[in-house]
Amino acid sequence: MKEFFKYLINGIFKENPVLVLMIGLCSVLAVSTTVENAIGMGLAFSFVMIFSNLFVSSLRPIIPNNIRIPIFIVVIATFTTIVDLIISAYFPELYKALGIFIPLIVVNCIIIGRAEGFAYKHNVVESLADGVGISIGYIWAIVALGLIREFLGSGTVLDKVIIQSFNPAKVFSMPPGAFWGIALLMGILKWVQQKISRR
Amino acid sequence: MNLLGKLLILFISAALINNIVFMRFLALCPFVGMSTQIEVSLGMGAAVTFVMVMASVVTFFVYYYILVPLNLLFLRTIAFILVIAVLVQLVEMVIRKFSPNLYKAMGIYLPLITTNCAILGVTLLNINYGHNLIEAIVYALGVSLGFTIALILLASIRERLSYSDIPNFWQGYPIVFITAGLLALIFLGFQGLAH
Amino acid sequence: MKNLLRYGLTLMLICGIAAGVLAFTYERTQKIIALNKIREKENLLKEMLPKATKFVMLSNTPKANDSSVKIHEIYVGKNIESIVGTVWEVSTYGYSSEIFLLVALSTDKKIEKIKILSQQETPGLGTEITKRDFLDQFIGKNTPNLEVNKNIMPVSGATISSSAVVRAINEVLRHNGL
Repeated sequence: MKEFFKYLINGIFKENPVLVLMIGLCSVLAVSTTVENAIGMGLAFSFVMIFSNLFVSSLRPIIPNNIRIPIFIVVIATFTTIVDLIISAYFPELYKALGIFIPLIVVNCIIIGRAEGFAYKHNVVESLADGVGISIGYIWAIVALGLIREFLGSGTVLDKVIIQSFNPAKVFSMPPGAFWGIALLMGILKWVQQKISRR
Repeated sequence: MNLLGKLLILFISAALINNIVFMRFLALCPFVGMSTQIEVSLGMGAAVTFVMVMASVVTFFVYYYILVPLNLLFLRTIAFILVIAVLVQLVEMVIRKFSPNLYKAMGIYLPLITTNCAILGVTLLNINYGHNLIEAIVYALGVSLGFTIALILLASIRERLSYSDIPNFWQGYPIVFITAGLLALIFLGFQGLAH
Repeated sequence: MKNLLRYGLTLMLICGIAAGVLAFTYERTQKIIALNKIREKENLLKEMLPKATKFVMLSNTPKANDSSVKIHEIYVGKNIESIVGTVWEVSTYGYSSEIFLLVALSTDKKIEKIKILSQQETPGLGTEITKRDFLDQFIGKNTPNLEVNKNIMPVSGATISSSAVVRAINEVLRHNGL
């Protein structure tokens, strides 16, 4: 049980896929224009991430080592397509907002990286913990960026005005704001880590 | 507008106005990882151009001559990614066999390209925009030129950044992203260029 | 050789299962997706012409006189067989993107309502063309003589985007003999 939590926590801070490992950034930067989109993208990502980890770890005994990569790709692509179909059927508005970034989950380096680097070497329970941990890490990073950009860019959070007199700077909803927002998050995380390690 | 003019606009808008890195946020992993030196950026740019054009052509035929007639559009993502993975493997083998020099120059980048989301992204966008074969090729060329430009721009700034005095917690990736944001701001200026 | 066969079979098996699972999901979701699309279109048209209960798409759309404007679809709104108006889907190139808009005309060929369907103009400037302040100026107009700064106030800082909308609306009004 202790191991389970160790792997779960690992993905949230120490190996946060977005802010520390610096992979899978494309969807994070592109979709984080509003908090709502960020949450939608985070959930779609988590679905694929967790199921891919579960499947790869449970299929471990029957996957021949030499052709493991193509098999990972097929597994991930299958779950991505399922998510794509489900969102397009039940959440058409979200589907429009996320656009091409739903099918692109398949080439998200995080998922294939965890399949190869973690799930292929660990059992089902540990892989589940890792999948959930990485997903939470991804979600908090993308939602935090969404918060920064939506608030600074349009002055709202989840479409609600927070401070009346605040004059938003549109540039934060535009592409440059995404780069600045993620730089800010990374800087803050680094600063916090330095404070902690100095103690 | 004649055909050539249309293609030129498509090319310029793919390279500058809708720059794949700064406006569409694709291919950020190689953008950050491969932009440390100008030379490395050029190698990566060449490899991406090569694979992107080939992938656009092959997926065009796969989509319109296999998936559409068989009514299997929902297999699009899975089919495209497999095509790209196989293509990259093939290209790697062919280059290694026939041109050791070229292999030395771009070989190490090739395996990284399978998970480069720009390749899959461009093949999907080609379908979304309804490009024909020639448009798809021109679009792929424009996008990869835009990618190479972005890479070289960032690499040349990063080469200088390595000598600058940067506050402690902005060092490393944060300052790279702030630079990228400033470059993106510049690229916003290209909006409206095509008209 | 034996290995090659094993690899091939394993890959085929996995791809087969994947295709099966996807076919099943597709079967389940496809009807809902198709339904969503129809409902979305209907809701949009209802919003344009609230009086209509039924919409019929015209099979032949006229060619645009202005070569920069494209006429995509025309719907006739009916309320128990009597025509209450038409909805036009047109598009034209603005400053940095193609602007798609819906224009609703009443039976006496006056503009009832305008809605911008999609655009990617400059955020904060060109995107203001989607606001009521700008679009409501067109309501009630019926002659194709609209011009920016003459009888239409453009969005400040976005004359090109505003002129594009005016161009598209003039084109619709030009066809009001339909």
